[in-house]
Amino acid sequence: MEFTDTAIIQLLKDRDETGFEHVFKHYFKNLYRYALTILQDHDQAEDIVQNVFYKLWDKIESLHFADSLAAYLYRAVYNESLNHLKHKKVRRTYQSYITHTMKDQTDGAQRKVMFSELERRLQTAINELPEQCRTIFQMSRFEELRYLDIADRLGISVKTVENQMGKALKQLRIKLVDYLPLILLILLNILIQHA
Amino acid sequence: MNEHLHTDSGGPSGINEDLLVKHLLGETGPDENARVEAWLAAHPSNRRYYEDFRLIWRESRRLGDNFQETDEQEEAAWQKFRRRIHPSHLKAVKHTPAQKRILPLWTKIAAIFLLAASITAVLYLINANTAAPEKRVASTTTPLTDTLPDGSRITLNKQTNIKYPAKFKKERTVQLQGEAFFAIAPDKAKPFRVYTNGVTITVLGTSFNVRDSDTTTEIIVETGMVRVTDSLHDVLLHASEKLVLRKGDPALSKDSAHNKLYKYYRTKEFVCDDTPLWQLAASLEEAYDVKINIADPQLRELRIIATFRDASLDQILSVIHETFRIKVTRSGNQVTLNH
Repeated sequence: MEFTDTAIIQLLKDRDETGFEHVFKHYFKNLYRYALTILQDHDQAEDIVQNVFYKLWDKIESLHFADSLAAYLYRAVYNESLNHLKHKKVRRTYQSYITHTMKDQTDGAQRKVMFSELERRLQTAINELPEQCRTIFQMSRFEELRYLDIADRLGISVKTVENQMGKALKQLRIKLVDYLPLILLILLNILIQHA
Repeated sequence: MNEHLHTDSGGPSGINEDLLVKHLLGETGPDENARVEAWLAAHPSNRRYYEDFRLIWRESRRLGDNFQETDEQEEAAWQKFRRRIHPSHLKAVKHTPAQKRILPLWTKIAAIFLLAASITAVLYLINANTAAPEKRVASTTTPLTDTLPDGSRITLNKQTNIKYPAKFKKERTVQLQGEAFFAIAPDKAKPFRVYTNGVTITVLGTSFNVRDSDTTTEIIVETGMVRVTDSLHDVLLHASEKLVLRKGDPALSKDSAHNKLYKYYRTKEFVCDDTPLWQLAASLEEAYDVKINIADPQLRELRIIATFRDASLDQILSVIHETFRIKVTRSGNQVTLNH
C-alpha cells in the first residue's frame, strides 16, 4: 500500500492527467458520499469534493501525506464540509427528512416528527465526532469496510480502528441516550402493526 | 467536548466499548466472543447497554440512504474537474523556466484527447503501427525474455506472440497474444498500453502478468497500479490484485492474488502456498507438456505448501508421492495420480 501511494503521489507531482483521473475516479464516489452524509445536500457535497481535488492538483508540492493519500482526502473532505456548515451558517431545513420518512410511515403525524428528530440528532452527534473517529465511522458504516481494510487504507493499525469505533459508539450513545427508549417504542409499534 | 460525560453512569464495567463494537460488527474472534457473551449474560443492564449500540448502529444507516451516485455522474464530475484545471495547468507551464517541458506537455494533451474516444484511439494506434516499422517476438516451446525500445522487460511464456513498434512514439503500445510478465520502465510522458483480445491495460509504472486465452484474460499486478478497460469494463487494479475477464461476460472477478504459481515461467519456481493439487497439476501440465489425470475429487483438493526451484517434473512428482502417499504413474506424457 505504501508503495502504491508513493507511486500515485509521484504521478500527481508529475502532473500526469491520466494518473489524476485514476485517483479522482478511485475516490470520488466515497468522498462524495462522505460529504453528503455530513451536509445532506447533493450540490454542496459535490462542490466540496471538487474543491478538495482541486487543492490536491494545485498544491500537490506543498501537501504532506502523513499516513496515506486516502487519510488526507477524507480528512480534507471532513474539514471542508464542517467549515462549510460553520462559516456559511447553513440552516438545514428538515423538510427533506420528513418527506423521506413519509414514504415509510403512512400514519401517525407524531411518529414522522419523532423519526426526523432522531435523524437530526443522530446526524448532529455523528458530525460532532473528531475527524479520525468520524472518518473511520464513515468507512465502517457507509462503505461497509472491515477493520482490516480501513486500517490499510488509512495507514493506521487495526487497534486504532477498534479504539476509534469504540469511541464513536460510546460518544453517540452519550448524546442520544435520552432518545433511545423512544426509538425503541416506535420500532416496537411498527412491528406490532405489521404483525 | 463534554468530558464529564465520559464517566456516564450508564457506561459498562468489566468490559470496554471497543470490544462491544467489535463484537457488534462481527470482528471478534472466539475468545472475545466468549468474553462478550459472558458479560452480556452477567446483568440485564449490560444487555441494554449493548442494545443501545446496536440501535444507534442500525439507525445511523439511514443517513447514507440518499446516496445514489452513478458512473455517469462520476464521469460528469471528472469532466467538470478537467475544465477547471486546464487554464491553470497551462499557466503553470508558462512559468516554468525549462522550455523543453512544453513539448512533452503537448504530446500528453494530444494523447489525452485521443483517449477521450476509444475509437479514435484505436484508429490512431493502427495508423501509428502501419507508419512505423514493427517488431514481432514469438516464443515457441520455451519462455523467453525481451527488452523493449524503452528498456521495459517482458518475459513471454511459451507459445506467446507480441508485436510493438520498433520505435515508440507518443505512446508505448504492445499487442499480446498468450501470456507475459511486464516490468515497465517508468516514463510518465508516454503511457504504456497492452492490447489483448479486446482488453486494454494502461500502465502507471508497474509490473504485472497478463494471461490471455480464447475465453478469458487474467491480469495480476505485482507492483504499482494498472487500469484495465474493454467494451464493458473500466477497472483500476492495485498491487497484488488479480482480475479475470471472461469474453462477453459483464461479470468480472477481482480478488487478491494469493496464488503465486503463475510466476513459474519467469522465476523457474513453482510456489505452492496452500495450493490445491489440481492447480499445481495445471501449471505442471503447461510447463512440461504433459497431461496429469487426477480422477478422485478428494485428491484434487489436497493442499500443498512447497517451493520447487529448478526441479524436474519427476522430482516434483516424487515429492507429491512422498507427501501425500499417493500413487504416481507416468508413461510418456501421461501422468496419473491415484490412491
